[in-house]
Amino acid sequence: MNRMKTGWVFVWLLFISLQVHAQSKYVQIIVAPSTYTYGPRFVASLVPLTGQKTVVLNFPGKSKQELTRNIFAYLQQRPQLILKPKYSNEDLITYRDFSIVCDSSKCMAYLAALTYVYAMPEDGKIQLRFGKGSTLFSSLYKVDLRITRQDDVASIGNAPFNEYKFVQPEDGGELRSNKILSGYHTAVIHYGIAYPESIYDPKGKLINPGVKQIIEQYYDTYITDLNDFLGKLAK
Amino acid sequence: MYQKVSSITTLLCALLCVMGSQVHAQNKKELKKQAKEAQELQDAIKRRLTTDAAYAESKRPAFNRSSWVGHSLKDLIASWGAPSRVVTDGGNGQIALYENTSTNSGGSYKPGYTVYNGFGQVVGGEASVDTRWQSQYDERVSFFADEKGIITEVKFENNYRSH
Repeated sequence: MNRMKTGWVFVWLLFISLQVHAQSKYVQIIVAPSTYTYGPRFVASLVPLTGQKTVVLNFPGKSKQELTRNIFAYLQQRPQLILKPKYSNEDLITYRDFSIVCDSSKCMAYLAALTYVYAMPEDGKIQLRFGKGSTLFSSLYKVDLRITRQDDVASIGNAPFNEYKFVQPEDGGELRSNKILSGYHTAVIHYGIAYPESIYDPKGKLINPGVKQIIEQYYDTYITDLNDFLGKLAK
Repeated sequence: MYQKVSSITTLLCALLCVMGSQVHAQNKKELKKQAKEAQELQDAIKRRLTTDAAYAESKRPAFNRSSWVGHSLKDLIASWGAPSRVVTDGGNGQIALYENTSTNSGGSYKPGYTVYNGFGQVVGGEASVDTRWQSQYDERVSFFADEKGIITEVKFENNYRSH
């Protein structure tokens, strides 16, 4: 009996730990009504959990110069992260990554991301945010995406892909000819159903919490990885 | 007794027939609904793939241009032909410029006229109609190369003017 109890406690703890692990620590995706007259009624964005514009990593006692050096050391250890000298200066270090987020078994489509990280070291802390050019790409079928040194993305053989839609597109009409009545009629197309990977439906309702969590965790990793690396250097 | 059994059997048969036709109608309705849903999904996916294919194609020119970063200017010229001009970047590097201008025009000019009578009074006429138009599209691709002739950056500029 006791053994069984221990077993259940273990399973419960494992469940809790998985839950805690699954939670993103720094960023979240939110949806809000669009402020534009045209286009989708809802737009989603990735924002820091704190509600601030940037994520702040604290390293008490470390100078700006020290933190700058440590960020460069971090980039040396992560060759897939490409430093962008053109968009970097003494107050800002910009680097980019291009990698797969998830495949159709987890996200119902193939997702890849071009991510720009802006790291702004100061005395005792680093402010981080994701750059404007950061883009999530999505495709229904597996496509081979390539990126140039100037960060232009294309698919091999121009296989169909597009920017990821956090919110499913709204229904639309398509003019069709009617052979029987020899005229035209407007057919309503539910575009949304062709975007199973979207997080929200056209009305902004959460329909894919799993994909939301995967994307949040994907972006979170950039911050946790840097934080862990710099934390170890600080010891 | 036999009559009773017979009437019960008839009744049961009728009941089964009604139930059967109802099930059949329901199945038909369900099948129709499924077919409609499948058609809707097909339409939506077709539309998405068209949009996605257009996006993929739109990304290609920029990708092809910037793929030259890291390659030599010499290889570029061998592939693209002679540039419109090569200028210095002010230091040890150079910029190879490929410029292209295309113009388009159309429309017509129909002159107007005035009809006078013998007393010099205007009695009719028509104003001139000018529907002529002209447009110009300029495109410039600049390849920046370092002192070793290796391309470090590619810039694309375009401009459309109509008058």
